[in-house]
Amino acid sequence: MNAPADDALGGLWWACRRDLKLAMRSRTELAVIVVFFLLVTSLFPLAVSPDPELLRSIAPGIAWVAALLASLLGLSRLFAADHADGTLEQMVLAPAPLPALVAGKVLAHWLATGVPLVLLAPLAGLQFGLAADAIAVLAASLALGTPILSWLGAIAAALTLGARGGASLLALLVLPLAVPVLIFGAGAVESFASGLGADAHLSLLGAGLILAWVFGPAAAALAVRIAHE
Amino acid sequence: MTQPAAFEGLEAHALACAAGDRTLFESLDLRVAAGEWATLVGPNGSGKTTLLRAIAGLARPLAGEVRWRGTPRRAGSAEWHADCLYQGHAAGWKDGLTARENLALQAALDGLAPAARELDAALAGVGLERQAGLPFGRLSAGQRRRLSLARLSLSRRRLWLLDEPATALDRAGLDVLAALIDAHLARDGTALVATHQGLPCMRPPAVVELGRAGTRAAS
Repeated sequence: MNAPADDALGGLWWACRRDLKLAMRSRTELAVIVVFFLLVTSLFPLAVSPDPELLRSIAPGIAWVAALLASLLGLSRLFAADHADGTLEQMVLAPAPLPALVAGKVLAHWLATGVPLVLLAPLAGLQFGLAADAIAVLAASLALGTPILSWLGAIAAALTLGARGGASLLALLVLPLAVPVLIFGAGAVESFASGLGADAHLSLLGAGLILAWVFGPAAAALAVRIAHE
Repeated sequence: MTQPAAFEGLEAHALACAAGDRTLFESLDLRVAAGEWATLVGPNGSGKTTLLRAIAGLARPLAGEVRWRGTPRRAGSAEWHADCLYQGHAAGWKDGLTARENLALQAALDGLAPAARELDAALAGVGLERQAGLPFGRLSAGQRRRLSLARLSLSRRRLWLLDEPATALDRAGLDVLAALIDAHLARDGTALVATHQGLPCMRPPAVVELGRAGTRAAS
């Protein structure tokens, strides 16, 4: 039941399970992210124009911007709560490698906040009259892109630990870095709709995802260590 | 002074730490052998927590060296993390999880896999058997401290670095803490404890006093 977290895999599993358990205890936070995503996507027809042709063409961009903003909501608490109550200190001193523990936390964060957005994307797509295959591409681009956002956010969240106004600083740090993800994510659907196919964009997102998982753990762990010195 | 090649215990040589621009202490020497313990005393702000964190490897000292079992301790190394247990003011408990869940998670993070029976025994040993299912956030200050004692009772690490473990404990709690330290020393453990309270331990501690010029202590 409680496997010891004494190696990398054990550490990843430990941190992931623990954070999912904590997320399930505070479900309102998750609900806020989901509702926020749906609200932001619903604002555009009201603000821009109810013209179905126009909405269909901007739908991928709207879904991606809304997903990006929604993913920012929970980020500031990713490490801050553990920092405040001393858990992060114990993780730094644990026998399990810190990058593995951090990776477990990011995985849990993505499962709790990214996956609901991937599942909700079809709903947003329907709202804008996207075709079924375009909706599938949108969901695929979000499935590949939101973990990259989680990693970018995790590194920024670790860097802003202990900084005054860390939460707002975090948004300023993450948003510019997220631009390439946004371009390829929204671009995938557009290029699919124009008949060029989404393979190139999705491949680039996949490459970004691999890079994020290769370099993210060490980078975020380093930032966590710096926060403790 | 030459030291024996393999001194089984904790040593610090010419350690200096600062908080911001202010030097808290410098040229601090300290030596606690296996099976012995030392208390860390000094006025508030004299650097007790900083010293413990520096030894644990959480803070970087300005100068000096920490040695563990005869060799310089390498912060971040697996051997050091398997030997050293640091417990600070904030002990890493989650308000939303029960006392028992918290203890099980911490034990797993410490690399242990206690059976359900052992967890219950650890909680009972510190007088929390009736609070095991309560969320940590609803425990009293003393009960929260006792949960930290339950973690100590499961631990078999050789070196304990405890920051004010006696705060908010009642007399019975102090007895439990003292008994844990005695058992730890009996296993040839080493402990460095920042505390202002006298603990009713069988073995008297060496005293390391901070906040004075030329801070120095030996056991």
